[in-house]
Amino acid sequence: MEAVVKQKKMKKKGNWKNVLRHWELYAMMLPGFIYLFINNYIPMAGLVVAFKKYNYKDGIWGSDWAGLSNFKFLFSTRDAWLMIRNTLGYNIVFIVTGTVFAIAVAIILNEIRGTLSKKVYQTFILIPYLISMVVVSYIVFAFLSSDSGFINKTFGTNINWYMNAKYWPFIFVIVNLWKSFGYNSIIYYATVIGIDTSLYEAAVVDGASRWQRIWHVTLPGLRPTIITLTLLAIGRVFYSDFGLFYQVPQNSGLLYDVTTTIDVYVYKGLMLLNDVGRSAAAGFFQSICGFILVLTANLVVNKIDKDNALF
Amino acid sequence: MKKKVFAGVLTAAMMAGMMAPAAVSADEMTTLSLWIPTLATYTDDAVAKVEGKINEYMGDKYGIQVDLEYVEIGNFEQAVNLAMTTDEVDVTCYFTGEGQLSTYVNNGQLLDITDYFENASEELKNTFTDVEIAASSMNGRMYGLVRKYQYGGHAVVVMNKDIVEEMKIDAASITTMDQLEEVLYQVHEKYPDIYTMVPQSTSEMTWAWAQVCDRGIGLTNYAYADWGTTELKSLFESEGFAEFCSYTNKWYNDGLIMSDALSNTMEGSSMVTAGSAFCCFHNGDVEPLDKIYPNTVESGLFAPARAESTGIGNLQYGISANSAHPEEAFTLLGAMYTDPEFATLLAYGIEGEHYVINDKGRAEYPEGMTAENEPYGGFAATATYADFLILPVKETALYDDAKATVEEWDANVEVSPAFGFFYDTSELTDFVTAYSNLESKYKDALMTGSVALDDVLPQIKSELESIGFYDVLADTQAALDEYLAN
Amino acid sequence: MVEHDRLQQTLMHLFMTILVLCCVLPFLLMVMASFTEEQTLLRNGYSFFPEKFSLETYQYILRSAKTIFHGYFMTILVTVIGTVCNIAMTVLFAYPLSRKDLPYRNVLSFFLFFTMLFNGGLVPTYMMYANTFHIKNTIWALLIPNLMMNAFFVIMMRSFFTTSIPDSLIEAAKLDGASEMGILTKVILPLSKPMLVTLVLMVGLNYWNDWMNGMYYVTDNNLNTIQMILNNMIQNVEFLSRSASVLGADAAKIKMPTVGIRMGIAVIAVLPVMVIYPFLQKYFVKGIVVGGVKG
Repeated sequence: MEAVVKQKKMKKKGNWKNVLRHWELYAMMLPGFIYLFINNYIPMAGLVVAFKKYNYKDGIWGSDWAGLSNFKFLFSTRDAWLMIRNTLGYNIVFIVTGTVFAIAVAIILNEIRGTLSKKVYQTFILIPYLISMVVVSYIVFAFLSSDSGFINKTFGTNINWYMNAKYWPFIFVIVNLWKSFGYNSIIYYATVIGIDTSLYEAAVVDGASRWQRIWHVTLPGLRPTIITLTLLAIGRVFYSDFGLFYQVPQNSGLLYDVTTTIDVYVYKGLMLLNDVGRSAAAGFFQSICGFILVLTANLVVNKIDKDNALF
Repeated sequence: MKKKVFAGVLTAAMMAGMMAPAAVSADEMTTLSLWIPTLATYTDDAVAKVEGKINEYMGDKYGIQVDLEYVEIGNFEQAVNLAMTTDEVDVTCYFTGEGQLSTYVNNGQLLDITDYFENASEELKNTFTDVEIAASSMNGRMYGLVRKYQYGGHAVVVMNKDIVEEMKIDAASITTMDQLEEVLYQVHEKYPDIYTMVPQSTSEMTWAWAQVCDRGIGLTNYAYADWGTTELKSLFESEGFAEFCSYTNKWYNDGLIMSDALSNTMEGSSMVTAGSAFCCFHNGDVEPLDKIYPNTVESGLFAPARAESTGIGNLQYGISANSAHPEEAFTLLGAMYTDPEFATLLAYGIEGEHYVINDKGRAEYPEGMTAENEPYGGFAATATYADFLILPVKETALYDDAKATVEEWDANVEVSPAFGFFYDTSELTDFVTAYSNLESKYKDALMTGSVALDDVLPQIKSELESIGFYDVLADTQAALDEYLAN
Repeated sequence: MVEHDRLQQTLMHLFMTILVLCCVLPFLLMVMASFTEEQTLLRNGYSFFPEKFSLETYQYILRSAKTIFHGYFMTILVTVIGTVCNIAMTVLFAYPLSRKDLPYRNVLSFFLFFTMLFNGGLVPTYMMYANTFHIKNTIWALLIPNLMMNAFFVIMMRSFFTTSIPDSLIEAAKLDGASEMGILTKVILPLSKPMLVTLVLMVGLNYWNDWMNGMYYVTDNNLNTIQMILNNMIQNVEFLSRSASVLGADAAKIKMPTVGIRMGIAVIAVLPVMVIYPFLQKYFVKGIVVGGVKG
């Protein structure tokens, strides 16, 4: 209480003094600040190419302006709706399934007894994250190939996976979950471990069951992390993992309706054109949409739970 | 305040970097960077050594120095396109197999070398035929020099030798789809456990467009025509394509073609070699394929050698528009085609160390060396160098005189009647991207026979309609007719 | 009660075992593929129990042992240096942001967060690093672009500090006259071990798995990391299958690494992480003991 009053007083006294008082903290941030400025902010000047007809000879500043024409190709066909639907749809499903599953695993890892088995579990669930998407595509093929695939052989089915679009939304969800859950659960697990043990002790003293402890201590403890990770994921909902949607289905044309995301469309369309302006325009569109969404989401979070908003 | 000044300095540095090319090394002689894609394994030490030798020679003869930049072929386009945004590149290889010359030119990546070429030595000018000059030109301006290689190719089927011998198939007599069909059914009955036919590569049924139709007309990605005609069509409405697909669809439905064709990740030839498949279509050229792939037999010709509009010199060498020394760069470019000593050093490395000339006057690996352990690697991967006709003939070659063999081949190739015609698509980029996506959706599925053309043609037509395909095609046709009339 | 607990434990172990199998079996299939004879792989497809074993993949890899070991060396060097720098910068940036009394905290958070959404794109970034900083074909090319500090990790670290470190600890240290740096190193970091280790792991993995910087900024083989070697191989295969027609029949003469070899390299790129990770886990020890501070 006293601190709050003090802080308010400080604000009135003028910001300069307050800033100076924290010089040590600012000094700490300097290396990171410089890095972000160089690595991230300076190249942003280059975003102008999204509005230019880029010519190699003339460079970024010398090329002619092109207005918004670089953005047109994203919306000029009936695929526009398809790719936006796919990109958003998959991302939403990925965020929900990924979060729920990773939290479940993190909590189980926390509740489980046995130091050795814990170590074994943690190590092995990380393996899929380490395998590159191209190699994952080989593995998926080894399972789904209709003639020699593991699934058709083992279960005696005769499904031609790569020709039936209806299976692929599920396959994508499974592959994405498989590849990412280990990594995400370890983030959540680290947070669970960080929860103040005295809270658990208090809960045990109060006679809470395992479920009550999870519900009343663990999940509230995870809440900030969940909110942060979800907000960050929302910022990227217009992006998609190119490898997942292009390489894993082996670019099979018959799956087009369910595999075409913005990134895949842009890649296929611009593959031969090497068009810097249009690529930049696509990226810019994805960023702007993500930005608007995340600002909105953050605003909502700010209303409900001020402490956990991103900014 | 300090931060602001610092930021200002950085921004200035950045802007300068984006605009002005960085200063070149202060050596007296100009150093030119030469970018070559490679598939071979090479060591930096060997490359440095060869570079040293090359520079001794080039310094004396032309007063220039060369900085060799080898890049793995899979990364090459990506890497060189980035590098061309700066002045790092002087002379570079680029691929135009799918009509990308217009891309490079529209993007302003390549230097117009017309004037340099006109003033070049007779020797250099005589190296290229008119067709080859046309292949590296757009709108009458020249942008590069094609790799000296034979034109286009023919269409054959590559078959597994064991099965051919076991079943006493007369491979050379098979020259039509009907004859092939008969053999395929016989083989399928006798060897039901292997794939009777597989795509040539991944999900692409064939690269031998000599058999299907002419494509890439006007260096576009959408204009096709049946061989020998100049009536432009969509791929899906051309007769050659329809005929090809009607066979493959029947074969696919009868289990002759691998059912995973659309998601295949392997090379057809390696499956045929291994005996897991009986045959695949293949494009061929001067060298017989059964000499290249062990345990295979080549069929007769399904289609004679033909060159599509984009099929000549699909690998070219040119000068980056951002090169700081275009004149010297042209000297280097020319030397790759006219100076056998330099070309050989570049491609094979140092004599006695990376290759030797045997008593027959042919080049081979020094004793104890193979493609796997020769450190320079050029010998194993000559395919990406500018001119293999001026190099010493390899021991493994089937001909004595590369130049004569290739000239004889070229003389007999049917060149696309639309060859040399160029249609400017730089204002049609949105259409081109939409079309790329549309074609990739259907092409492989139809060519592997996984889908019947009749079932999807109405849908394809309506999609083509919706992206304005037929209007663009009509305009292209009009331009082509005008070109042909002149 | 105890019985009930035992049942729950068994179920949880069962669940985790199934999950682990789901992760390991596909990996195992990959390992087996690297041990399968090429012809068998082509003929019979992938199998956990290949008909014919072959050590050819690993013989091939051993033949280029020098390249591979050099690749490992580069990977480890880059990973260690990169991770140390990254973690230092991340912690130093995250800690002040977690302090509720820091003026302009929100502005700085936004400055950080904005970089997650917008980037200048490949070409401008490349031009800056290649032209202004001349990092092409130097080790900096593998260390600096995009990997040295990542807003995602800073935000993770910040939210850990905010939620898990009681303000009272900081206040107490301040009363003892500690400097900000002293508070960070002596009080806060020791309590943040689980998160630090998680970040070390994740940043380390980013460096370990990276091949993009190599592809853009390195043409010098001496700087190749193990992932670059794997990626070069895969890119070459992709290129050959996509557009080998460019090279004509000549391309056929070039022997490409087989599926087995590709799998083999993928396996050896993953193995070290599996060896190192268990050692990191000892820091995943439960519990922040809030001692010496009145609640």
